[in-house]
Order: sequence, then structure tokens, then C-alpha cells
Amino acid sequence: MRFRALAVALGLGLLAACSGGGGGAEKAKASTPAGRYHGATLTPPLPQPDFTLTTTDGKPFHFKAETQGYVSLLFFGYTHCPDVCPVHMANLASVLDRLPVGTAGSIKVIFVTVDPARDTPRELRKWLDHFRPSFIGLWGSLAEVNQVQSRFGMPATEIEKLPDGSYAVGHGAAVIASVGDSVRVLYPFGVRQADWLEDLPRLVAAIPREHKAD
Amino acid sequence: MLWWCSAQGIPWTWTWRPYVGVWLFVLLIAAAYVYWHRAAQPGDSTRARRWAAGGGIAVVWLLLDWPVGALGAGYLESVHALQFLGMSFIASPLLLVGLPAGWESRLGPRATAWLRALAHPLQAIIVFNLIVIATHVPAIVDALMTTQLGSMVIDAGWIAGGLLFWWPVLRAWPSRLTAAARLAYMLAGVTLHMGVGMFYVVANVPLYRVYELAPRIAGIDPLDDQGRAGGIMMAGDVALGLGAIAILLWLWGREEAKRAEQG
Repeated sequence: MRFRALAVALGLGLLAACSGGGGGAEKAKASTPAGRYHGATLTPPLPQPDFTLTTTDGKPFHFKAETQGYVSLLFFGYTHCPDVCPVHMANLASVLDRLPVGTAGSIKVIFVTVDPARDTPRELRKWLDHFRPSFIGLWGSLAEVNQVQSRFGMPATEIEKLPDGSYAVGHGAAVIASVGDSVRVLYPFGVRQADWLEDLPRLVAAIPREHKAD
Repeated sequence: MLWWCSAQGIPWTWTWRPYVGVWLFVLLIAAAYVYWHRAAQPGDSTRARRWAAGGGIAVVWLLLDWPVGALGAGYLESVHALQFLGMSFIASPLLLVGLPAGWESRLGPRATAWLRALAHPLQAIIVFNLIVIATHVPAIVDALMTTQLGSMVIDAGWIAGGLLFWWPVLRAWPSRLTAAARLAYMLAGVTLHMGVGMFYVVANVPLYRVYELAPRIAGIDPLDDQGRAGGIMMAGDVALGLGAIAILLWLWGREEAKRAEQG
């Protein structure tokens, strides 16, 4: 009991220190006014662009229709990505595991590969399953994917050849959060699990009642 | 060329990397011990003390250099916890035991005054616990671990804190603690980071940005890793606490028996 009390006391101290400074996400948290999110909030929200790509099952995925009534978290990345992509996906998976089922069920995480040459639908599925089987993987030609990225204001994919003969893929690092049919928030790399835990329920609560999925 | 292990934000590889500052730091400690043992009176530098010093220096090197140092600085909190335990509770006592007997008597007056003030049990436990708190506060850790100098400050702080913590237990100068007082002192020393370890276990979000956003190693989740770090700290504290209590109770019993014989 003594240790538990001590742990709680220490925890409060640590959390107090945590909210007092540190990295960018923490600073954003400390200065986030009520009603705003931990990412870059778009005011007013932008209309959600529509596009169609192919799922890892080979079926067409009509973005607007499929995400109507949900919070969608759209990310452009690739499975050979050594840093940003797996961290974003792992953090989102971890957070969704801890949200109430109803809240997590109202969120669709959509991963569009920017490296279609290496990320076959099968590879993409296998990689996403490692994080969470409900994550949606989308595939298209590089030209198609670049077109979709440009509609969301994201930079086009850049291929950089490496000395060992392989290549790295340059891509945007932000997760694009849409609610219903509008793009609301851009979450840069550096957003933390605590931020997602706070923001995702609020984004779900912002889904227009008439659009809410059953 | 890198000076000290710190969080670089680059993907982990098993390719060896040299950390020159770590080598210099270890060499400096080793050179100091060689000098002290050579300068000591014949009976003051025993083989056991030299072995203890060598062991302490080896543990410091192992924990600070690649790969342990690099993994702990920028990738895995569990390895960071191992470094903390290793430096504070293995390397530090070995380094103290490894000093020649009467080492304190050869210090200059100013150093003696400083050591006398800091090595008092009350000051030592307060400073040690302040170092433990400061080096585990997320904002401080996140700020320091991303720079080589900051990371070095944390590592050096753990060694310095460990030396200070163990001084009243292992060096009978300036005052000698009774076995009972040593027992109470040890318990006071392990209780705080037992609490830190417990908090790591129960926290439902990763506390440190540096580990949460680090490139993943083998898909290890930062929250799981944080729990593991807490488990390591608690297990280390329990092992250390029980071990120390067993030894000190034995010493206590021996002191009482001696007293009974004399009385």
C-alpha cells in the first residue's frame, strides 16, 4: 500500500513536470485551448477530397463513401519506412486498443502506400496486420497516389536511390484526420499517444449525428 | 565520430559505432584508479580492492558504450532502466570498494571538506534521491537525451549519485553507521525508485517522448517497453533491497553478539 501511494504521488509529480515543458507535442498540449486539437486544426475545415484506390483485397475503395459517418485517419507511407510510418501506425494501434470499443469502432485508419512497386497488396496487408488487422491498406499506381496526395495538399512522393542499390521514399509525415466529409486536423510526426487518446474521442464526438455509422 | 550515446532518431542497426567520449571517460576513471593504487600504502591496495575497481570500471564501460549505451539512450526504456540500476547499484559500489583503504586521508583540505559535507548520510540520501527524480522526469529526460552532452550529464549523474548513495554504507568515513542505521538508509534509498518503477508499470501512456517516437526495434511497443522498464527497476530494487537487508541483518546480529560478549 505504501508503495502504491508513493507511486501515485510520484506519478502526479511526473505528470505535472510532463505538462510543464518538453517536446513540441507537449508544448502544443499545454497551450491547446478548449475545442482545439493537438495537431494543426484547419479552421474552417476543408471539404474532404474524394478518390478511389484499391484495397489489399483487390476491391475498390471509394474514400468519401467509405468514411462517411466515421473519423478517418489517412496516412501516406510505405512498409519499408524505417521510422515515421511504423511509429505512427504502432501508436495509433496502441491507442485504439485502449479506447472504448464504440469510439475505436468509429475510427478508420487508412494507409495509402507511396511505394507501390515494393508494397504489393499482400505485403501491405501483412505489414498492417502486424499493427492492427482493422487498418485499411490502399494501393494504386504511383501516379494515382501522387494525384491523391496533391488533392490533400501533400507533397508528391520522392524516390531517393541508396548506395546499396535500394531506395528510400520521401513522403509527407502527417496523419490527415477527417470527420464526416470535412478535413479537420493535420497531425505531424511527434504527436503522442496521450494526444491521440485525448483527441480521438473528441473527433468521434464531432461526427454529425445524421452521418454517424451504426 | 560520436562523443556520447544519445537519441539520434535514426533507425537502429547492429553496426558498431565508436563513442570516443565514453572511451575517454572510462580511461580517465581507470587512470585515476591506477594512480591511486600506486600511490597507496602497501597494505591499503589489496587484490580484492583492485578487482572491485576493475569490475566497476568494466561495468561502466559495458553500460555506456555501444550497444547497451546506444540502445538505452535512444531506443529502449527497459535498457535505460538497466543502465540506471547498473550504474547506481553495481558500478558505483564496486568503484567505492575499489578505492584503496585510507583514500580519503590523502585528499586536499578543500576536497575533504566537500566530501565530509556530501557524504553525511542525510545529505547523501537527499542528493541521491534528487538526482533520481531529476533524471526520471519526462521533460528533463526528453530534453537531455537528445543531445550527447545531455545524455552524458544523465549518465554521469547516475554514477555520481550512486557513489554518494553508497558512500555512507561502504566507507566508514567521516562517520560509521551502525548496521541498523545502514538498513534504514538502504530502505530509504531504494523506496523512491521502487515508486518510479511502479509508476512505469501502471502508466497507461508512454511517459518519454524520446522512447515513444524512437524508430522501433523488432516492433517493441513503447508502452510495453515502459512496463518492462518498471519491472526491471522493481525487480532490481527488490533483489538489492533483500540482499542488502540480509547482509545488514547479519552484520547487525554480529554487532549485537560482540556487544553481548563485551558486556
